[in-house]
Amino acid sequence: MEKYFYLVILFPLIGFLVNGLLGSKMKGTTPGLIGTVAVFIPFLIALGVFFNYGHESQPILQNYFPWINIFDFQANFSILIDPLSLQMTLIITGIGSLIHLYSIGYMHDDEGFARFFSYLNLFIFSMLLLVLGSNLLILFIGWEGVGLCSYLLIGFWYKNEDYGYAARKAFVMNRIGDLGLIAGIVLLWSYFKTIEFQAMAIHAANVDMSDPVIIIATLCLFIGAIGKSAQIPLYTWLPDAMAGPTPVSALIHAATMVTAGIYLLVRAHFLFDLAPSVLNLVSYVGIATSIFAAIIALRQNDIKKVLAYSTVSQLGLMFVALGVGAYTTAMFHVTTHAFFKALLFLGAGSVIHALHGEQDIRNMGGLKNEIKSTYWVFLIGTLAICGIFPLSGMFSKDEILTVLFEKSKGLWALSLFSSLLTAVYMFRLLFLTFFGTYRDDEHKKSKIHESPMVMMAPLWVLAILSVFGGILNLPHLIGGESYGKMAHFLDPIFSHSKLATEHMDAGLEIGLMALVVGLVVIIGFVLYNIYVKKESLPKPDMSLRGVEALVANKFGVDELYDTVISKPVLGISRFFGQKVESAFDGISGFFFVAGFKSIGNSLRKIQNGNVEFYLILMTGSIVVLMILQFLIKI
Amino acid sequence: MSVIIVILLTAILVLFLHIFEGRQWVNPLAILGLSLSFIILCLENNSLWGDYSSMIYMTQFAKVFTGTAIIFTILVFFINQSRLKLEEDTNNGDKLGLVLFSLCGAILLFTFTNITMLFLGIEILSIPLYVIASSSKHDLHSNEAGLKYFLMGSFATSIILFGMALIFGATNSLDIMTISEYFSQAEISKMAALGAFFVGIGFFFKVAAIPFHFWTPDVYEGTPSIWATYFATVVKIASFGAFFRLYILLGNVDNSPLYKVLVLIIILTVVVGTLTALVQENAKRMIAYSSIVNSGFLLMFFLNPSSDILSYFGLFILGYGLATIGIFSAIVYLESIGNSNGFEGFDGLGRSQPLFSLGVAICLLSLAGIPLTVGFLGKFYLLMSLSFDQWWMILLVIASSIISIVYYFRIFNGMYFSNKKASAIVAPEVVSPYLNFVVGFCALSLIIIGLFPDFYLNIFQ
Repeated sequence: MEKYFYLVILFPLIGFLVNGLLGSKMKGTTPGLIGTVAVFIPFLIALGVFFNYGHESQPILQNYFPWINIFDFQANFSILIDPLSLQMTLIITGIGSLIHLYSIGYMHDDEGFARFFSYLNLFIFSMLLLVLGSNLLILFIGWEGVGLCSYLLIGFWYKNEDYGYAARKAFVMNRIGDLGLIAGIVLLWSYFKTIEFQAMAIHAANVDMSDPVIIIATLCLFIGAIGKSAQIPLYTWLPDAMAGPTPVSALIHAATMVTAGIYLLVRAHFLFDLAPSVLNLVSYVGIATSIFAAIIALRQNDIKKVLAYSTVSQLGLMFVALGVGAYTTAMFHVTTHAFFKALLFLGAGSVIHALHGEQDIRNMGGLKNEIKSTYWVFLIGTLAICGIFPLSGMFSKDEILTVLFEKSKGLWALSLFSSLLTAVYMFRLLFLTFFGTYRDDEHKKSKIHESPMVMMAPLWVLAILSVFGGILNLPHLIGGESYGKMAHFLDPIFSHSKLATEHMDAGLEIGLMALVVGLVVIIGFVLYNIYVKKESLPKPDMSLRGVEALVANKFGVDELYDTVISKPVLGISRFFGQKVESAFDGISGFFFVAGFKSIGNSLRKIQNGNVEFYLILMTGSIVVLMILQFLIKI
Repeated sequence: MSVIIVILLTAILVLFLHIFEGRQWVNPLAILGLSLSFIILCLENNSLWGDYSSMIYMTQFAKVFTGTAIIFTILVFFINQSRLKLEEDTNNGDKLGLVLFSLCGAILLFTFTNITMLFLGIEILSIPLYVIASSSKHDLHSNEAGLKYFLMGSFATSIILFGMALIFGATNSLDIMTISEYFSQAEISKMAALGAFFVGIGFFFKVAAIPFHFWTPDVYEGTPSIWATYFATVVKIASFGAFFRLYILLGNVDNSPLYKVLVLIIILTVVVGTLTALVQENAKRMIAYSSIVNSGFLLMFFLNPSSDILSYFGLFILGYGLATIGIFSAIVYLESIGNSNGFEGFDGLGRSQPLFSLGVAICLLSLAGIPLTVGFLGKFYLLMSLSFDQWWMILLVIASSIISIVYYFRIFNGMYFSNKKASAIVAPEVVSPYLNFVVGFCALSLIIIGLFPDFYLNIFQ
């Protein structure tokens, strides 16, 4: 099975080429089917490899061809199959297939149907390169590739100018992060003289703790992760990225691409383990982002924006877990988050589809009677993300909280606060959308329709995964002997085992769990009271005052960046463009262009077409050269 | 050896076929013969070349260069095929025969191990070229080009021969191993040094280095474009292949009789070539100067020869050749629809022939040394091969590359950013599939090898 692993990468690429080149000539849903199959077959292959991959298996390095070989710099086009990359591959291709299938329904009457699927396939291809690459350069190709696809897909409806700006913003913000990543790669190469992960890990074993180069390099990698995974201060692009079609938000901006930063940190864990100060920074940035984004989410009224800020907040929680060295815990949350956030986004997509493009929750309400199926899956997603027992989100979030409780009570309290905020904005979203009465006019209400089977099927699959995803990594308390399957699976990639050897006191663990679940349930009831019983509505933006207005306005961070960074930079650029460049043009135009041209013109006159003249000139040159070579000593 | 024999037989067959009413088969037969010789080249073991009284021998370096020359000739013949659809040419067989003969001369230049063979190679390569340059019988420019090429070419050949005679006088041998042993001595006689100097001067002429370049623009401009393609690529490769081998033997020694000349000529070639190319108004002349500047770059590889340099040298010349063929096929297309050779001939091509223009654009980008192409890698390896003491050479390469973008992008500009309406300038005539193939082949190879140069570089090992 491993032999055919190259097909995993190849199929999406072929899908991209076929849809990209021939898609416009195909009829109906053919491009969608091609796109879906091109992701589903790799999923099956990856699944096959996964079941063959025992606990004792060695990581498989597949070297396809030498790629760059310049003096002592060598980069091969090779992939590394180990538990980490295998798990990521399964998430990408598995959830990817479901979202492709869903898109067939969601995008069915879009004129760019084939283009959409070719971009999606290209995205899957790049994302697979990112997680499978055996060295930083292949990872970097994937990293840039997913950035490009994200740009293309956010701006998919490019005729809307705002969407174009959102795409550009995402791209620019990502570039800032990419710069960090490039700097990190260069630094690591100059330090280790290799960019292969396995070789670097071996070298890293001999490096001192808190080596300054490693600290700077990990900091650079972390900047890359901040950009891709939308953390403070580069998170502002993710909410705007909701301009793209909803399946894109589900696939790229919730389940896969935004977790690339977490993947990078886990992949380079052997470096981060050497830099405890950077790891501390990681958890501080994570917790700050998590709470900050959760607070903003409280006052958002766009169904997708709420989910976007929720994603930022959840990613923050994962970084907190990474920061305390709980890599497998973070990966567990990546996985369950991929399930329920994809579910929520696709559910939101189904709502938007049912309402013909309406995204403002103030114009919704009472939808649970109109679109029952969507209501149920959305409810499951909400309960999962809030951490209600026994859904998957509860297990992953509980694991994070347990780890934090052991390591740092402060971080634990803040993370708990952030998790409770999650419950607040998610229940608010749920109640405003599905409960109460429909708030828009009756005419529109008659047109509400449930989404087709092709969209609902992936939703139900994701709902099942969201419910039972916790089984993947049960805590010792519940799982007994078969606890922590994912942790055991991932453990071989770490140089020092990360498995928890001691288990927390069972009573304390139950207590913590009960505390979280209890608080979430209370929040649920309070919000039910506010939004369903009393039918209170979010106030119009205009009437908000003070802190509320600030929160609704996302703390004005966009405006802040605009005033502090964009405007000065544009001002300088304008100064150079209009004043300095024209001055230079005048000078250089005079000296260089005119100068070179006049020299060129006089040289051209030598070429007068007269053979005798040429021969005399050549003979003269020979004489001069002879004198130079043999008579003059330099 | 069978490579040369197959090409020779093809040439003779082509000549006969031409007489016996088989004109339409002449070009395909030539291409077929060349393809066959290429396959034989790939399969044949180098050691089979050991039996020719140490007159010729096929090294791996020679093999790659021979293969490249054969591929380039095939591409030229494909361009030629596109012309045959449009006009009746009663002399096509003669021309193809001559080109094939001259290709045999080129192969001798890669494989010689005795300077008699070197001289024979030069002559076998050059004499057919003089005829081909003037092959457009009723065109005065073509006649002029042929005559000029002949006059100046024989001037250069005589200088080479003079140098060889001096070397023979000093070393009493024609075998290059003996000669190179002699030259590697600490002290060599004045006569030998002078001999090496003259041979070098002759080759500076052959590779069109300034100030021995005068024939190039005039000949390229006057010669029918298809054959000018051959001059700019195969002949260039042949001259450089021979010169590089010779330089390693004669010039790469302490107290080299050629070093100072080489340095001066490189500077002159790059500086003057770049500046003159800047003011050309005719695409063919611009390409001629671009080929001169590239000669300057290729000569820089001579400064620090080593076994690695051989493959980088090969990569550079491959990139140059492919890109030049691509641009020449655009010139051939424009001539076939009656456009002038001036830059304005390219106006609007990007809109009337988008795919074809894309290929041409990639060739231009490669010549200008933009990344992802072989042209970039060639320049990159060139810069890496220069040492820090030669920093002024590095500056020269960079400055020249920057300025060169101006004249390469004049074509680019015309194709894509011309304000004129596409239909008004270029009649929307279909590009011949043969030309499309050639441009597509060149552009794709430039990108594929540009991405994965190791596949090519490893052949040299």
